[in-house]
Amino acid sequence: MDRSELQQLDAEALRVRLADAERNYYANLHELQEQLARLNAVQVLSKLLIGYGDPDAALDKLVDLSIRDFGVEKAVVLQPRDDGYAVVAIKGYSRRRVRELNDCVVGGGEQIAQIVDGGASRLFEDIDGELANALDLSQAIICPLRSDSGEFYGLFIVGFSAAKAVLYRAFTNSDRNFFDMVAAQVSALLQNIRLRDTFRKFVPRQFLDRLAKQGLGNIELGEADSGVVTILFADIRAFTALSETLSPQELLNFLNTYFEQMNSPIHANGGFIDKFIGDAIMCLFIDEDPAIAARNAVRTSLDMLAALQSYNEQRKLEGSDPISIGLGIHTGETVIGTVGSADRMDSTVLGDAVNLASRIESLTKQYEVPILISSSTHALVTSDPTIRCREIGLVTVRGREEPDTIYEVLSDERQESVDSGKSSRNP
Amino acid sequence: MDAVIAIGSSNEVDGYEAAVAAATAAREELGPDEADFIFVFSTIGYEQEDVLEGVREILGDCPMGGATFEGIIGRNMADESMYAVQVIAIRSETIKFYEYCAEDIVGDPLGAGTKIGQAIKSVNDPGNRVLFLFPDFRSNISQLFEGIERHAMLPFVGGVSGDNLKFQQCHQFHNGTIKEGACSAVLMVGDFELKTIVTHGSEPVGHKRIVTKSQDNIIIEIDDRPALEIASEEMGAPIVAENLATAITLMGIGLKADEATDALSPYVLRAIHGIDFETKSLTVPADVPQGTEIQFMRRDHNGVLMSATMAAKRLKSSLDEVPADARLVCQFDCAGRGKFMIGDDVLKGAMMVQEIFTEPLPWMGTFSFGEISPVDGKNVFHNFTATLAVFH
Repeated sequence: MDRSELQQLDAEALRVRLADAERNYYANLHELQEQLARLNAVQVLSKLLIGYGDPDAALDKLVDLSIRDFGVEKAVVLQPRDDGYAVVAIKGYSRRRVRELNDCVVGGGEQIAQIVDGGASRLFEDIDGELANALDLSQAIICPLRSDSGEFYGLFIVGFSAAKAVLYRAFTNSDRNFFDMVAAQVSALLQNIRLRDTFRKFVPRQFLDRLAKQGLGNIELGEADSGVVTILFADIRAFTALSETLSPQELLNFLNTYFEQMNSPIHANGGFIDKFIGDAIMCLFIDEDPAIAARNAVRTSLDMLAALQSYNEQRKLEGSDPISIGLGIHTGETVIGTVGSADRMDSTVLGDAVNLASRIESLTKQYEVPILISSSTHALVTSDPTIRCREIGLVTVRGREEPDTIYEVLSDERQESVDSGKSSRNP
Repeated sequence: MDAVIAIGSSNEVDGYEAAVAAATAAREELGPDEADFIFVFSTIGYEQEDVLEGVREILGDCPMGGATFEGIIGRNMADESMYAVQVIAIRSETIKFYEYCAEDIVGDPLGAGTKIGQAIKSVNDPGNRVLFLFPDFRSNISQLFEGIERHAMLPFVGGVSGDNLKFQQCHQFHNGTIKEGACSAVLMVGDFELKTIVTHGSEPVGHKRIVTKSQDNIIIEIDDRPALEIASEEMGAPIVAENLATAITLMGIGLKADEATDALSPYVLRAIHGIDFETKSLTVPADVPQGTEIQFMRRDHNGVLMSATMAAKRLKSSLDEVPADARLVCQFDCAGRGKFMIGDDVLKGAMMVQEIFTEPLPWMGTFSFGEISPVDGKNVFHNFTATLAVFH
């Protein structure tokens, strides 16, 4: 082999190496571009999901983004049912197929059961079985949605149909890792939503809206917001005597049933329970227009009496004595804030108005009427023709120097009683 | 041109919702009367049956033509996502529409063209004529043209139906049905005038070459060497499966035309629609006879944007010829001139052209796999071009 032939071979070898390098360059460049686009999309997803309080809306957004930005044809979220899995979010299917899938429960199969039972996400290069048939998938990545503690929420599935697979790049393990990361993010969101929902059972949403404007994680001790609030106190008459006739468990059952009965009218009229104090309920009505809050509180008191009547009928059937309650309402300036210590915090409403509402409620025993309101509340509801009141008189409540006029709110029943002269004791 | 032209578009991910949104926007512009004809352009990500169902629900069962494309272009918008739909509803007392769908355009493009041509021949309505064509990208377009022109000579405008640059599947619409491997053709007849403009942004690279072996639209050898080898040399890098999309977007083939088909270039541009790595041959969407002089053409970001500017300038200079009563602009751009080439400047490029028109005219269009527009009275199939058809 002469020198020129050797040079030619060298040149050919160099050309082959360059061609390989070029090929690798394009392949890597393309993959990097795609990864960058996806990471950008995940960043967008994270920001979007932060604002989602409703899990259904968040899952809808997840499947929507998967189709639009993550380069898959189909995206589905399934949640477990007794006999399989139900579709809770779906994109990339015809309307007809979505209707069909929304009406049925899909079976999982052994492969899916492994993922559900603590297994990791899986890439199915050629998936078959009931789930694949139902969801029209030829290739899929299936990721579990699971909390840190292992609680299983459902399955996040992305994939392609055989008919459209040619329009998409086949999945790789890198894709599986990516969708696993997305699923982890969504799982964290679902966990937060559940945590928040549980939290709200202890702390009223309206408090959180006022105190946690920057998010639940940013509530600080001493945070406060002031405003005009209407406060309603409800108390069971002769509760001490009643409690002595019941065992502790029976007492707890009785209170929970009673609170449950009273809860509906409060929520139905836009109020919320601030706290239970023994047998007493303290609830608040907040609105930009204090007149609306006052009217809602007064309507609530009438509705609570109606609910109590139904409850008493039920008690009567069970052989128990009826109970009666007193309700006191006042509208005034309060401070809503957090109190306690850094590691044990509570939300509450503070101010003289709270004390006055409580004192007015205690006057219902003295005047033998079910509902009493302060003059400030009365002034806000007096223009409402559906609310009937009668003046009880000028009273000085305990702990206050200035007297205040209090009014009785009349239910239909009380109106008749007053009209027939059988009204309660006057001051 | 006396017509009400109402256009709506949407990029909702759900096909039905997107179509309903686009059709509702068109419906509101259209007013209480029904449309005489509807064009529907959509991208490939949708379940197309949902798209047509949504359009039908809002605009009823009136005649329809259209297809899937790589993207859609409208007034102040250009969308090349997998999920975009444009609905154009037209009503006119002085213009009639006849819609055709030639099937098996892939297997027998000449026969398909012949059927369309024969159908057009039987239309006797007075007035000017134009034929909108939206053929499947897998067809031989020059044979389609030949088939039609054997029976009917009239200007053609339109774009070649395609997908998301995967060159795998596309659909054509015909009166609520979805076809594949077909050509949606719409004849417009009546009282209107048409002005067309074609431009591109490619520059010749290397030297002139001769196609030494070909079969219809497959170039097998150039200068007696495998066509793929020559293409790789001109590209400056081996063309392989991984960079195929990049290669065919950056590079095309200029065929020396017998007569000038474009004031900007003596070449008619052809995109490379397919490469057979075994036979090292290149497939283009129209016939390339042996002996044809060619020169490879390359484009870049600036070239494409510059060509949009030049198109706008040319359009402006010819506006004197276009009466002030222009009513509709159809823009069919090459998919390779879109986001793949100029990224986020896609809208900028589209707007350069739109800003020439002082009035906010109804604007319909697509990013297609080939553009159809007459030049100097002759129907020409283009690639890598931006074409405008102004109706007045």
